[in-house]
Amino acid sequence: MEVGKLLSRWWFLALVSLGIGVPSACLVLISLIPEVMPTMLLEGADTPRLLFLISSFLSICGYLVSFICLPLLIVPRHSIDGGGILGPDDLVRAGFEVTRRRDAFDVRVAKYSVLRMYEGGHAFRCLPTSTAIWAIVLLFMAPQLTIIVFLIALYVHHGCCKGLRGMPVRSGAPAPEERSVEEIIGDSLMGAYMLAREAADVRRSSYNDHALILVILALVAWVALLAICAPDLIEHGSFAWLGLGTLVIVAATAIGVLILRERRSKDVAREETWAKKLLSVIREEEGAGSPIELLLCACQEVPIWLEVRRRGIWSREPGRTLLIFILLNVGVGSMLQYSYIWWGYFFIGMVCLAFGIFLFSYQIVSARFESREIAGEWERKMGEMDSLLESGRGR
Amino acid sequence: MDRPDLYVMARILERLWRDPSPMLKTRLQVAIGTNYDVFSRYLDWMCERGLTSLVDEDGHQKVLLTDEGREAYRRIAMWINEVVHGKRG
Repeated sequence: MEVGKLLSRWWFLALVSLGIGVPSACLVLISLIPEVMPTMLLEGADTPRLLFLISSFLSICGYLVSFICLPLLIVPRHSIDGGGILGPDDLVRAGFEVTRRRDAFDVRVAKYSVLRMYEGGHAFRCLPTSTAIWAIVLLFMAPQLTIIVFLIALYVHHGCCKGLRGMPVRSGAPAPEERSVEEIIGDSLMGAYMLAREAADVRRSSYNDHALILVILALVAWVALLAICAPDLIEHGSFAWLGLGTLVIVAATAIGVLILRERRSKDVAREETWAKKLLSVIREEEGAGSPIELLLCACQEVPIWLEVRRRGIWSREPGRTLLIFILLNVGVGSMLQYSYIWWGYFFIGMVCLAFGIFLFSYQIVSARFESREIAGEWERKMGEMDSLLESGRGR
Repeated sequence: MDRPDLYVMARILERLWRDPSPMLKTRLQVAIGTNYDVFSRYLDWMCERGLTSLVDEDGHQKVLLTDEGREAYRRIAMWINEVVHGKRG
């Protein structure tokens, strides 16, 4: 398959990022620490100064390159020449993991790469999976390692490019307007399967998120414990309270993770069972049961799946999640460090922080409104259930 | 029968929809998986409302899906489709 020019040259991303990021990092470094560079170059550098310089360069270069390559990865829409990619239902039948979005659908094409298809499979965007987003977020917390984000972006981009070439393309004329009952039922089965599948994935990834939060809380608690025990440690050299406290924190974290895992496995198994049942009916396996009865039962589950989907809003919109994180991170960082660098950083930090908080709040509020609207619509539809068999009830 | 179970009704309609030729009552009852009394009550209810009709063929009573029955099945299918896809973001 012939793909867009930009994607076929995936190294373009690398060249642009490095071409702009590395010289810019040098310029920023020279302008921020003017006394360090000339001293080092003219008089020779001692080890701490050299280490400081390398560390500063890696941090600035890492952030700059990452900030350039991430939008280059996520933002552009690439067009697909020819008939376009198959529809989401056909892709599921072909064994792809598909998630429906508003006016689009996501296809997982590699372990860390997702293609978001638009315009009926004629255009797409490259996106990282939720695991890749978490890795990026964690790397942003360690300035000297931020440059690794660049490598992740390249890997994700490469995965999308490779995955796209292996995807089945559409052939022949588009589907007719009028659908038969069999097609409607097939479409409903596929829609219900995707909802169940997505609910299972969201429940699974929410466990990872909660476990990570628990571990971070444990680390914060341990740092607090260290601060409390510091006087005792310095004065008496006793590790007793620190050791005991550490044991309690480790035990509490382990128990918490185990409880989370137990709860997750039940929830995930429930959604997985639904997805398996629906898939076996879609594939018309022997003993799969009545499609219409299964669908009627699945209708009762729809609000639960939609609610789970709402809770997974952060992984559903990875680009926006990443942007929010970057804005908050840059905002807080700039406001804390402006006095060492430049007063303008305080203003930039404030703008970034305000915009980040606005996007964060908007994401939560819009998800709540969407959830309320969906619940109302579902209740209205369920109220119609009893009147379905009345004759002469036209649509 | 005051309030029929839509799940059973849908199963009957689906079975008859798949097989357009008249079907033996006992064969349909086995395919639906309910006992004969319950099945008979549902069948009577559906015949009263014109969703199915009984025909005599080769000395056996067979069940046939009427046009109203086909329309009812289509309505159920459309309704499910709207519940599954409706308002999905």
